[in-house]
Amino acid sequence: MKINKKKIWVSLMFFIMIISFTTGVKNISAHDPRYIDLKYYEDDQVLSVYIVHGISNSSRHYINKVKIEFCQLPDSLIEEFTSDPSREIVGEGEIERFGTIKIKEEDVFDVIDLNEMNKTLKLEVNYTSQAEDLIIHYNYTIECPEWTLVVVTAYCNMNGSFTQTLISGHPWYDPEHHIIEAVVPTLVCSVIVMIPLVIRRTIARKRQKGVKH
Amino acid sequence: MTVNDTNIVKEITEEKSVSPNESIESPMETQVLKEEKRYNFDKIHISLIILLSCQVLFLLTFSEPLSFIWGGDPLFNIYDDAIMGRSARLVLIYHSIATPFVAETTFWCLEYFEVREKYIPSMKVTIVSGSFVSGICGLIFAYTRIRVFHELFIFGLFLVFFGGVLFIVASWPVPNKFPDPEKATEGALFYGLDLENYSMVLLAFCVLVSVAYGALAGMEVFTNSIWGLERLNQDAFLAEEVVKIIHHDYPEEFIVSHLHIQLSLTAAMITMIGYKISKIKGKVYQIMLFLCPIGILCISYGAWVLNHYLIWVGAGILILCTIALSVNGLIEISKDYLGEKYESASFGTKLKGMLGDPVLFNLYWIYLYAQIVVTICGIIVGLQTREIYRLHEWFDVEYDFNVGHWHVLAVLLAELLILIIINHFHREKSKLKTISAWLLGIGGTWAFTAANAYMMRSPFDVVEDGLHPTMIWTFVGVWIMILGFVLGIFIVFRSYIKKRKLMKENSD
Repeated sequence: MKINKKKIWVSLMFFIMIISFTTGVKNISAHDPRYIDLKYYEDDQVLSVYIVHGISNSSRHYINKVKIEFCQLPDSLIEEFTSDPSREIVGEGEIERFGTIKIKEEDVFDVIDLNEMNKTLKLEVNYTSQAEDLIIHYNYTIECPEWTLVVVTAYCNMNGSFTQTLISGHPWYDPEHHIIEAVVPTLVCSVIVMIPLVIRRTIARKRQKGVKH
Repeated sequence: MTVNDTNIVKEITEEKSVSPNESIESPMETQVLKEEKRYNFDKIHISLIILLSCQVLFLLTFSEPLSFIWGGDPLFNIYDDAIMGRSARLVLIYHSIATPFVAETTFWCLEYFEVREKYIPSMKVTIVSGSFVSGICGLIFAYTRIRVFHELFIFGLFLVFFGGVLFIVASWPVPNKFPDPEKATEGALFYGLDLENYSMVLLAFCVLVSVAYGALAGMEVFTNSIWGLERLNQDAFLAEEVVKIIHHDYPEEFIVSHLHIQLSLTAAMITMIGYKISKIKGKVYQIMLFLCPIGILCISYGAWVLNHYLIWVGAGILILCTIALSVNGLIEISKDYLGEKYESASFGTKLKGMLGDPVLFNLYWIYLYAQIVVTICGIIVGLQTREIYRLHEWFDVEYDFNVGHWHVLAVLLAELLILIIINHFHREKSKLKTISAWLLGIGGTWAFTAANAYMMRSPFDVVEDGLHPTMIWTFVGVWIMILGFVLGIFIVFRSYIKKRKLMKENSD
């Protein structure tokens, strides 16, 4: 069969043009800060903030503002957390990490909407460059009374922001996982792999018996 | 006579023309070896190595271990966040280099495992062209943001995906029919079913599902067209940046999963290639072939649902298979080296005999050492995540581990692959080959050890100025390894050119 090279090239170019004009890429900027990690050291009254913001040129692209706001949690919610015995954390290490009460992010934000809450601006710091090109660390001396919902927002000078929250005196609880979680899926995976082999063995044995008869 | 038959004849003629002094194999062995081989993928291997080498050369211009030598800044000033953010650029770079690498690994699987021949030309067209298109266009797009290159990049990825589908069809085992049971490795058959191909099909299926995971997440993030989440930050992100978010949305979950599993499954592919190189067979091999698909499915499903314990179970099973292949491979080297004297040799002599083939020795050593520096270190950190690594004070250590862990695995896989390639292209003993193998082995061991020491450092070890000492040690290991790579690639190219010349002379 004779191949028409010209036709192939025309088709290829047409195809490239079609995909060039029909497929959409909305945004691949990736400027906004990606994550914020918070910890409040009550004894020193220091709020430690790690911000993940990967950049290539720290004088042109950087976190230009960090805003710290306070919100007051509803009394009913605090009451619910403090009166529920199932929320009590035991063990020295656990208390050191998560405080005395188990509070997960969804426990709070399933009940309240952060955007609708009244926020009090406590601190706003502006920057003109970024010290590190990936993870920046800032310490802010600030007084946070217990049960204050601290809202920290970092802004990129080019585009975007990221917000993280923390309840003063009660870090977010991270549930513990156990190896037991792997047992059932391992068995399921083994069964899935073995089923075709067992079927194969049954068929082969039946055939062998048939041949003998 | 078909084209394939002609290739076989050519290969045999060519091997015969090599002086017996140059080869460590007897001519008879060479004939048997070459007759079994129907397709020649040498050109594809070489072209993909050239593509990967060019990409790596470019990456070296801003790689930390290299830029450290000339002061820390990248060689070219082309990194403009206004054109594209760092995360988006890295995502493109990773995909541009990973796709040809997976393609190259796939062709090594084709080199060692049986597939239906009629699908090979289609696989060659889709996988090779897809790798080149996505590899080149992805990199161009990352620095220019000219949209047509993005579409071509996606088109290249699609071609490779399609090649993967063809791979499944081509290697699908049919009991007693395909692959030919008479040619099967001892222990690979289970009531006529070839367990090697059974594992390969499952592996390829898991790779494609994991690819779909990445594709779905990408489509949602950029076009909002899968779950319609209307995400606040509709742009590219790296898995390590979002891993600490307690409640991930689907794109975040899928990206974390995609990163976890793509590399693990490539590692599983290279492990399976190792089975064939180590010539493992018999009952142990059959047990391995029963365990291997369970390991592959556990590790894949564990990553798809982000169940770390299940990932570890899968990894643990694959560790056992890798240890078995490596130990068997080391014994085989000693047997080949000592020949008839092996049975009567002392234990020490047998151990010494393992060093008889430096390429294979370093290959199996890296297979074994990988379990310590990747799997075991990963499990140690995983088990201590909640108690130590997720603590606020350890924030940047955990981030570095998340990045470093898969970087170590990726480099380790590249090292295993180059050793496999050297072993394939350059069978004769030579000084350069020995030096290259030891540079790769020593450099790798050094770099991976120091990198893990850095990744698992204490955040309270404050280094006032400059880099952490373990990081500098890592760089030294990387430099040694780079020398090994350069020498290895040189040997491979030289052997290939020599082979081509001989073939041309014979055909003339």
